[in-house]
Amino acid sequence: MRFKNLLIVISTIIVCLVTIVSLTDIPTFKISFEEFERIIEETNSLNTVTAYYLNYRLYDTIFEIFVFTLSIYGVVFFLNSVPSIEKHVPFNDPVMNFYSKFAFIISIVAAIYIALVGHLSPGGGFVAGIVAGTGMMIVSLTKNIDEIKDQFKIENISSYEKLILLSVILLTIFPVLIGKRSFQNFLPLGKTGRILSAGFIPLFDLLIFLKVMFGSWSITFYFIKHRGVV
Amino acid sequence: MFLEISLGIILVVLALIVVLQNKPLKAIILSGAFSASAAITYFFIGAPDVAMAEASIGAVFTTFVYIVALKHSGKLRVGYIDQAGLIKRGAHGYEGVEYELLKLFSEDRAMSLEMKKIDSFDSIEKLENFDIICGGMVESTFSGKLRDFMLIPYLETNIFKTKKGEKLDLVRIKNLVLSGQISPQDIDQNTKEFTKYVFLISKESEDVGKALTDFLQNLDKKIFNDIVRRNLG
Repeated sequence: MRFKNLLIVISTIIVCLVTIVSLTDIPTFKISFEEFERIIEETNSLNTVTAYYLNYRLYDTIFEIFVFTLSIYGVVFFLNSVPSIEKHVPFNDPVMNFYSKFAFIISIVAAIYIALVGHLSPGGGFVAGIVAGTGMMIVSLTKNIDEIKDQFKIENISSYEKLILLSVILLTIFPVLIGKRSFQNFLPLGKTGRILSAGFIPLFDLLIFLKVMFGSWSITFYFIKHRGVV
Repeated sequence: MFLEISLGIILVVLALIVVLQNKPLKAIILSGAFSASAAITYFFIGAPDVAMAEASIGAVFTTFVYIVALKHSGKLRVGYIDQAGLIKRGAHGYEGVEYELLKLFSEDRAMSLEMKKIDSFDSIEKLENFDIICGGMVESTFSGKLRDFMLIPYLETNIFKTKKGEKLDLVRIKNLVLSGQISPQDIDQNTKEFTKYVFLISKESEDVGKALTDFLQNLDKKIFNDIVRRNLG
């Protein structure tokens, strides 16, 4: 027991030191200002992180979407083997009922904003999707399972998801048809700083936003259906 | 510099607290707090995109999924019938073989026990609100009668017939004789049947049943015998 405690103390100190050192000694950026200018010129995206993962590294991002889709199917597949809860008891609290709707609206508006300006400021499709999914989750805590089914049309959601995945794949192949490389931008770059700029980056942001929103919502729905609300 | 160091310390301390928790619910909520501080850290070291993702996924979404997943396993609802030696609320809290076994099991699974006394088995619907029902349940009495329950045997016993024709198990006979409700002469010594005491597990809590079976199989024989000797003599 004493040895175990000693081991815990030593490993804590090591982890603590490593964390602090890595947090205080962040390597300074080696990318020159010209490099930033080049990225912005080429993509017209002010957020260079988005420019990287939706333009230069779009191939990796597509696989991230595949992994996400696979994990959702995994959750749905395994939860379907669990019998669903017969007596579904939602939260029945007036304060919660009111604020959940409020939170839902706020999170959907915030999510759309984050998705649309992903190429101008911090944000993007993934975060926006999760924010919207969380909003849907909060509002569904106060509703009955049949009400949720009626309002969010869960059967349609899985078809939307497949449709979005298909359109993402088609959008990456489409440039080949018009004589460009695959995964290459085919839309006009527009004026820097506008929402409708940066070529296909906002389009992908929007598609990823919808995909992640429906995906995270499916996970929530199946959890509530098969395990019940807390 | 000071901010980074303090954030680093907070992260490590929170992570340690989460790992050392033995109550799953507390651990989940604290890991949500950990995610929130991680998000703040990401923000200050120049990664607002990652901070947003961490805050929404780590602090809210994962916490919810974990809590729902924990729903059935966080609290063990036990319904019991008073039976001295097996389970009974005494002056110093609960005591008995079944209670001690359940306590060890709940500690092993980091759950809390919620005890409720049952007066009779007349209304089976009420029994569905429990994960485990105990209090000297005997295997042969319940086979077929309560089909909605899973039976987990843990201790062998004998069944005796009284002269009135009642079939009673060893602990019940002992308690009745000790309280003077029947005399030892009333018991028919020849009709001895072997059976086992069981825990009744509701079908909805099948996972609890599986975990309890595993626990009882892997329980140290010495500890088990000690519990039985201490309570039943």
